[in-house]
Amino acid sequence: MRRTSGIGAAAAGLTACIFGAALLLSLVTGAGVYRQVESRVERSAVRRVGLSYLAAKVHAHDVAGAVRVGQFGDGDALFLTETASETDSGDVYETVVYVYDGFLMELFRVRGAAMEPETGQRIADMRSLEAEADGALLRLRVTDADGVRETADVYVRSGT
Amino acid sequence: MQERIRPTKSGLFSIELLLCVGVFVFCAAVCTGIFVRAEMMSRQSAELNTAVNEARNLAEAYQASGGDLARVCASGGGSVEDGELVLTREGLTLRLTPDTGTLTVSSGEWLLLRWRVAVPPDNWGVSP
Repeated sequence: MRRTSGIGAAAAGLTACIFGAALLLSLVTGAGVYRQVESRVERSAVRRVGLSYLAAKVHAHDVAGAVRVGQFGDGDALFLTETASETDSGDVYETVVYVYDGFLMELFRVRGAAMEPETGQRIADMRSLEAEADGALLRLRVTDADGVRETADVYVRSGT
Repeated sequence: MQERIRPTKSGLFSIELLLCVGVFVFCAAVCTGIFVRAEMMSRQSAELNTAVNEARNLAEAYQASGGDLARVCASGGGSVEDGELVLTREGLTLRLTPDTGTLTVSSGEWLLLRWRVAVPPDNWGVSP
């Protein structure tokens, strides 16, 4: 009788150990999967936001002569021009989209006004932006915070 | 006459243990399945994002070229086979068929998306 109890206790202990180990393994696996999924979703969202933002900005300003590529700060920039309506003064404004200090930035100013790159508004994490016009096609190459390069080709219907 | 077998304490304890282990194995199997599904869905989602991005790039390049496949190939790579543009990027195969105006993106044998693409009328006044 005593011997049977000993075996029973050992079996119970062993089962408890296996249960604990498996539970721990399961938790660690779950946490790992969750971390991977979360980081992939975040990376994907950051890239999508940056590229979609750039494409949407260009399409929104797609009128003759309003989209041009140039230099601002230390790198390439997009200059999107818009003219105030007839009821207003008729001043010409421009939105400058560029990368500064690890961020995609946007700056709205009267065209030609001297403004520093750091005065812009942060849009998304981004390491670099290269813009190149090839006929009616605007090729934007961005490098995200993880160093991954992505390209967005945008058809400028009004021409660049 | 047969002797009636009475359940002993240790027998009951063993059955209880087996039941616990069984329930735990079932729960672990369900959890593992959920983890695997979550991982697969996340991969598929990332792949679909890439597919959408690449398809959009090709569609924009095609429209900007005024429907000239050779020009699209020259600027973005790929090749023209039987009047169809075939391009491989990021492990995805993009096929653009101007006759039907169809753009498909597939990963291996899996079709990820199918779009209709058309060159704008008169290219909106922009000469390609």
